[in-house]
Amino acid sequence: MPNTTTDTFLRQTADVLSNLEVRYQEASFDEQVQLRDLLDQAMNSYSSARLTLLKNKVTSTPADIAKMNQIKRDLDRAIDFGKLMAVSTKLVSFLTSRFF
Amino acid sequence: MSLHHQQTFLKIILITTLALSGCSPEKARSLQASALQFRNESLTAITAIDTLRKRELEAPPRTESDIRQTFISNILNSSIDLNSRNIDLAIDPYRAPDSTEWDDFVQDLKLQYEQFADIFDNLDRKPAVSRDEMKKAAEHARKLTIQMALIAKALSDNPPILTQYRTRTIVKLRKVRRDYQTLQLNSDNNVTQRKADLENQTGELLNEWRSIQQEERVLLETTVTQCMRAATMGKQVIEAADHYDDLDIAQLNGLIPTLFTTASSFTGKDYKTLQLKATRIVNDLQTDPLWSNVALPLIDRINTAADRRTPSSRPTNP
Repeated sequence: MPNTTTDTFLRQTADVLSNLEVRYQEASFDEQVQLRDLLDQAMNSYSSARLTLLKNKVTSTPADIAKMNQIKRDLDRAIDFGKLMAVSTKLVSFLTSRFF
Repeated sequence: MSLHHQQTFLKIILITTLALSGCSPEKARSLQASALQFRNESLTAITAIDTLRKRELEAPPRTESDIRQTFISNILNSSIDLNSRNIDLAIDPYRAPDSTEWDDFVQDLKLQYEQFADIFDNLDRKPAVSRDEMKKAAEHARKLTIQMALIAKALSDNPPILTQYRTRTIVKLRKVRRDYQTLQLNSDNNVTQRKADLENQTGELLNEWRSIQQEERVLLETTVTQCMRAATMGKQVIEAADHYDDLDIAQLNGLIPTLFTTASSFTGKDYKTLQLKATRIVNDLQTDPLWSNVALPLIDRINTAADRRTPSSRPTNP
C-alpha cells in the first residue's frame, strides 16, 4: 500500500537534492570545494532516509513535508553562496536527525 | 568365488548403488553444462547491473582539452589550499563518490554464482553423485534464481536516472533562459539574431533531454532483459534438478538447446511483456511453498541494494 506522505516527502527531497546538484555545477571552483562534502553528505543522508522510510522504520509526517518545503524555498532564495551553504547544512542536519 | 564371479558381483553392487542413489556422473555432467550456462548468463547480468549503477552516477564524458582548460582555470583563479584533494577535485569536480557498500554487494553476487558453478565442478569429478548432493545444488540454484528475478523486478520498479547528465542539461537550460530573459530587457536591434540563436539552443537541449531519457530506457531494458534471461534459465535448471531421477541422459542433454532458445527469446524488444514476466515470476516464486522460504529473506536485501543505488534525485514511484 503506497504511503502518500512518504512518497510526497521523498519526491520533495529528491527535487531539493537535484537543485543542490545544479547549484554545485553552477558554482565557481572555490565554492565547489566548500560545497562538495555537504553535497555528498546530503546525498548519503537522503539515501539512508529513503531506505528508513521505505522499510517503515520511521513514518514521515505532514510536518516533515512542511519542513522540506521550507528548505526548498530557502534554497530557491539562496542567491549568495553563504546562504546556499547554510541551507545545505540545514538539509543534512534535518535528514540525519529525523531519519536515523 | 572365481575372479570372474567376483568381478560380476562387484559390477552388480556398483550398478545397484548407482541405481539406488539415482544419480550417474553422466547425468550430473549433463546438468552441469546447463548450470554453467545459467552461471554465465547470471554473471553477464551482474556486470549489466554494475554498469547501470555506474552510468547512473557518472558525469558526462569530457574531452582531454576541456579537462585541461577547466583545470588551468580552476587552479589559477582559485584561492583555496592546493592540497591533493583539491587538485583531484580541480581535475574532476563531478567525480561520483565511491561506494564500498555497492562494490561489496556486486562482489558478493559474483562470488555466489561462481561458487554455484564450483558445486557442479565438484560433482563432475566424483564417480557417483548422491541424490542429496544434487538436492543441495538445486537448493543453492533456487536461491540464485530468485535473486535474479528479484533484481529484475527491483530495477523495473526503480528505473535508472542518469543524474549528472540530467543536471548538466538543466544547467545549460538555466543559462540559456537567463540570457534570453536578459535580452528581452534590451531594446538593441542586434538582439533578434541572438534571441533566435538561444531559441535554437533550447530546441537542441530538448533533443539532448530526450536522448538522455532514451539512454535510460535502453539501460533499464538491457539490464532487466539479462536478469530475466538468467532467472528463467535458472528456473529451468532447477526444474530439471527437481525431476532429476525421472529424466534420462537424452532428456537432460535436451535441456541445453532449450536454454539457448530461452535466452534468445528475451530480446528486450517488448519491454512491457518482459516487465509482466518479471512481476509474474517473482509472484510465482513468492507464493510457491518450495520457493517462498528461500525468496522472502532475499527480498529485503535486493530492495536495499536497489534503493541505495542512486543517492540523489531519483524520482520515487508515484
